[in-house]
Amino acid sequence: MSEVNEMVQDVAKAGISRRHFVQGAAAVAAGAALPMTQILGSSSVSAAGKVFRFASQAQEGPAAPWMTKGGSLGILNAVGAWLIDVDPSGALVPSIATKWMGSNGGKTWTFTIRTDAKFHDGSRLTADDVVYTLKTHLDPANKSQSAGRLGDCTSAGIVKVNATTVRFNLKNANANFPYVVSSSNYGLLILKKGEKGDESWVKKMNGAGKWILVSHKVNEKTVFKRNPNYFDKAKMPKFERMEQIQYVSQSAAIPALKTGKLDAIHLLYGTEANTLPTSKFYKTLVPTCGGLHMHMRCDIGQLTDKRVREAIALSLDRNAYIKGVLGGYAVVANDSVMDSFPTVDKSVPQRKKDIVRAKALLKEAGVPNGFKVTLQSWKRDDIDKFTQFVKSSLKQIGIDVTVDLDGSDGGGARWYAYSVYPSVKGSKVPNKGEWLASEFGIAEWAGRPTPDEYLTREWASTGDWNPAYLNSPALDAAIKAWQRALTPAKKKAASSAIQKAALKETPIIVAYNEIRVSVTSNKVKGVKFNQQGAVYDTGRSA
Amino acid sequence: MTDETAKQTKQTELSERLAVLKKNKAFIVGASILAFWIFSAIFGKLIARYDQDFMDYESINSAPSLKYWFGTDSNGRDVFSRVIVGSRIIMVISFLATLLGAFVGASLGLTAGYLKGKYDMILMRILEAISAIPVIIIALLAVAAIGQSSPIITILIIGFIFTPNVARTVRAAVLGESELEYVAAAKLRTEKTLHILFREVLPNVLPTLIVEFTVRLGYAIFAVATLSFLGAGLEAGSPDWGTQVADTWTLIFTNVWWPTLFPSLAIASVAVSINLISDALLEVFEL
Repeated sequence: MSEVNEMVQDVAKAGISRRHFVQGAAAVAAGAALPMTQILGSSSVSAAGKVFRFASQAQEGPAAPWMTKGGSLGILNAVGAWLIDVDPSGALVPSIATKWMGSNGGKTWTFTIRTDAKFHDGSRLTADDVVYTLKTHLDPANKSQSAGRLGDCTSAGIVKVNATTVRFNLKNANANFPYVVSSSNYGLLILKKGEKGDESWVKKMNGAGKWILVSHKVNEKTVFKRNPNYFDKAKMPKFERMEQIQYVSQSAAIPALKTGKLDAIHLLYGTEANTLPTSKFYKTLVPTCGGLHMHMRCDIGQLTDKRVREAIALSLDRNAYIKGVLGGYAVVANDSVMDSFPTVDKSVPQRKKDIVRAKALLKEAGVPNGFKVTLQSWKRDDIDKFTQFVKSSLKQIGIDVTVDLDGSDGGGARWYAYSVYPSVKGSKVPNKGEWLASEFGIAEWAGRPTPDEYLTREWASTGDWNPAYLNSPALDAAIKAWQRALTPAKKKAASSAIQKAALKETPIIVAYNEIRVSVTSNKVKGVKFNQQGAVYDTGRSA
Repeated sequence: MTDETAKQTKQTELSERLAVLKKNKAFIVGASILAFWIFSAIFGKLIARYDQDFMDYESINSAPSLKYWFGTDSNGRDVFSRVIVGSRIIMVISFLATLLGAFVGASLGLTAGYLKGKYDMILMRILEAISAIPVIIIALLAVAAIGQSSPIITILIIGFIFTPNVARTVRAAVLGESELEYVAAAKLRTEKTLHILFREVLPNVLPTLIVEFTVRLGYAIFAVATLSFLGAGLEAGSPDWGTQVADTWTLIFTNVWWPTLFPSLAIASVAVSINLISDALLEVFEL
């Protein structure tokens, strides 16, 4: 369909004014004239014209499907396509799979694969590619960071039924399995059969997504061009190019936004976003279940006594922190990952600041005068602030916190080194200043449409990303019950059990669920970000 | 002239110079500012109006006011209290680092200037090579090689960096002194080399060393602040001035300038005060 036809359709659908229609026609004419302007050497393009430029967070590692790390998901989201998409509200939306269906009590899942999707190199995406992709993640030799999420799958259980059908025969029933293979599990973007999802993939990033890679400089800038062969024409980006510029601190991108060199800043502090004039910029708020998870080792060190962990949790004034430091852009959480989901048991009492009780617990634990402890993580805006909140709060109960943040340049090299991976139950790994080998640390978790990934990977004793090394049979049983539950009532009962077990053991403090704030220039309309922090829709020039 | 008479003459000369120094306006201003920061470094917790880590959630990014004289930062912490308490960290680290550099540098300079010959030539070439590398690059390389940062590591790094400059200055002064009669007299008395160096020569190059010390102290203040700003110095969130600037500079873009301005002014004031003192010393001791 030509651009003009598309635009006429837009007029019919959206009912935009004649003036806008004429402006749009002028834009199409300008687009037709582009080759001539390029010949004449004019490469100047306004920030809100043909290029969408936005600031995003720094990367912790390569943007490779098997090596998924924070900061990379924005890049993967641009070039990749998944079996299913998750929209900003958390709903599942067809993508490579046009439909899916569960059977056998949630143990079998069948996906219908579309036939019109192509990789960026022009080759057709087939059911073979889907089967290949999922199997590569399950192959231990590939050390995929997404393997832990596919715990219910076996390589033999992933079967190509015919050219348009792929079936997953799971070991255990899982009502939320479609979410497992969705874009929320961003490492599972469909690879071309035979291609590796390791660091070598980053050179071409041969995905099937909306955007084709033009250039990529780690932690600097990644440039994409629109994929003319993208299978879902309704979601075709309106911009010709997209540039993702990475900043260690999003606040540092504000001058570029103000001067029109950027169109949007993703994940800006709410208090800072509020300082920008509403006449020129607008905020996009995405409530998520993501945020900072502060773990306390349950197997070694000074925090093994659950009374100490509870005392730490009770020293935090969560509401005050959210209202003050976060400008209200978060929702108080109760030290579990269940709080923001509809199945939450609201009768479980919310933990509140109680210094008297916290001191009493420390006394019972034999450390009435507190102790010294090092809180480790990596340097980024929200972690910087949260560590100071923890330090200030714990000082009130006599715990002297030394903050050790990895790197002033975006960091993550030490904190996410993964020299210890996966976390192994009972391994008692010593403190190495890494996420999975630290006594007291903080990791940032992006939002997920369901709590399954948090539960199976971070909270279960068998999880591969279990930084607290908690081994609680009660919590494990509750997590299993959650996974197997096929009705809302059973889900709610399992959620309640998880919430109670989490409060009893307090292996991880989840003080709040963040509301992600992005700021966009009024020159661009309709930008949407998803819960994980990637651009879902770049919108269009105003 | 006997040794006793020479000593008395020197003491009289020193007293006269110190009397002049006390009247030097640059010295008075510099010493007053420095005295304030030394007082803050020792008694900071008494002067500070709030605990340096206390967070007032109702006053995030508050502008300077009667309640918070220098305003609050994005964590609601009192900037005035943090600037005052932060003085101890930067003053102690800078002083100890300079002291280390002065001690090692003076020892090397004394021996090089006195022994001369191949030892002097080789040592000076090595020290020149070290001084040719920019200070911050050496510091960052050292932090990267060691793999961690702490106040002690910062002291060692800055002390190491300052050693060549002190050594060269002291050596130049010793070269002149070593030709004087009192050194020849000491040699005739068969005094040991260490005795001649530290009991005879050192007191005579002490004014030069003191001036060099003050100059280096000024540089040390900047070096510590810069390393902290780059995240290679102290604990994250520390009230140390460089860390405060690093933690808050991006707020300037949202018109919250006070958490950055006041620690920056503190750094500048100490550096200026030390420079004023060293200029006055140079003038009075005619170095």
